[in-house]
Amino acid sequence: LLILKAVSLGPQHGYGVLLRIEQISKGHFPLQQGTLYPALYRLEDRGLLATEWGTSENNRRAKFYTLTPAGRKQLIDGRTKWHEIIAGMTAALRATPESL
Amino acid sequence: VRSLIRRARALLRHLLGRTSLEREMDDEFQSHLAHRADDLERSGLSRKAAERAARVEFGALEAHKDAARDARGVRAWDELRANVGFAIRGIAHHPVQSLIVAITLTLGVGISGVVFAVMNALAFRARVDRDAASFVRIFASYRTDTTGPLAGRTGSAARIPRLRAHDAVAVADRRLAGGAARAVRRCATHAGRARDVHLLRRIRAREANRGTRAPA
Repeated sequence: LLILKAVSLGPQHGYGVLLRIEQISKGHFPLQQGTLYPALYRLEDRGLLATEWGTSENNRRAKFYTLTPAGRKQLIDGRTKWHEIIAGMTAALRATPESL
Repeated sequence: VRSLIRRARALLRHLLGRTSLEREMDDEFQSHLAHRADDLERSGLSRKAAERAARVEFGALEAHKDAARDARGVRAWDELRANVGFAIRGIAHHPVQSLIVAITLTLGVGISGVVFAVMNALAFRARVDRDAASFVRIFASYRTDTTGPLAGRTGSAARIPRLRAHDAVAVADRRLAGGAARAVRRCATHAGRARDVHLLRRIRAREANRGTRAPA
């Protein structure tokens, strides 16, 4: 879900996805760099990401990932589910003997 | 279903285009390292140190590649191919031993199968189709149990609805008269069992000796 979100903010190559995740999660999820790629490939094989080789801002060749329509839908679904989990957990953790 | 088709198509593409897949993965990882090194260089490291640091940060390259292949689903295929290759090389290396092993297994499995098939047909099943009497006899001895449903009932066996041959034989074995014998005959005639008819004749003869009314 994090990867989908990172890619949804604009096409990214692998390293860019890492930086973007670090940036948007405020460093809460340090990823080991190599572990990103299996996840990216899995998303690509599921048709959630599309890839294209291009030139990066450093003037280097890089493979760019973009969100497909299916990927966008997955992102929205995932976000909805995540908010439901948070709402449920928050309510559950707030419960006191009096409120029952 | 659509996502399943997508995944199958992706897997097929990877299997058919293995070399390009490997090359692309290699390029992508190198590109990643180069970008990371660029960033590190910008933070003040020498190019060489930056490249080394980038590699260290990335982790074990081959391990990540393996994980990536796993994610693509092509690794199982690789391993299968490697195993089959290994087996073929082994067979080619020791042809005589391989042949002996193959023959031993073939004969072992084949003979076991044949013996079981024959024994199964001849010995393990009640031969109801050709020797009905053996079937009847089994039940007859079971039914002579004195606690059974017919125990101690005289003459009334014929009134039991749908009395079966083996029940009736059991009753006859317990030397009951009249109705039981009639039941035996009815059932025996119905089932066409010669043995039961024979039994009936014996019962009838005994009844005649005793002077009771012979069954119809």
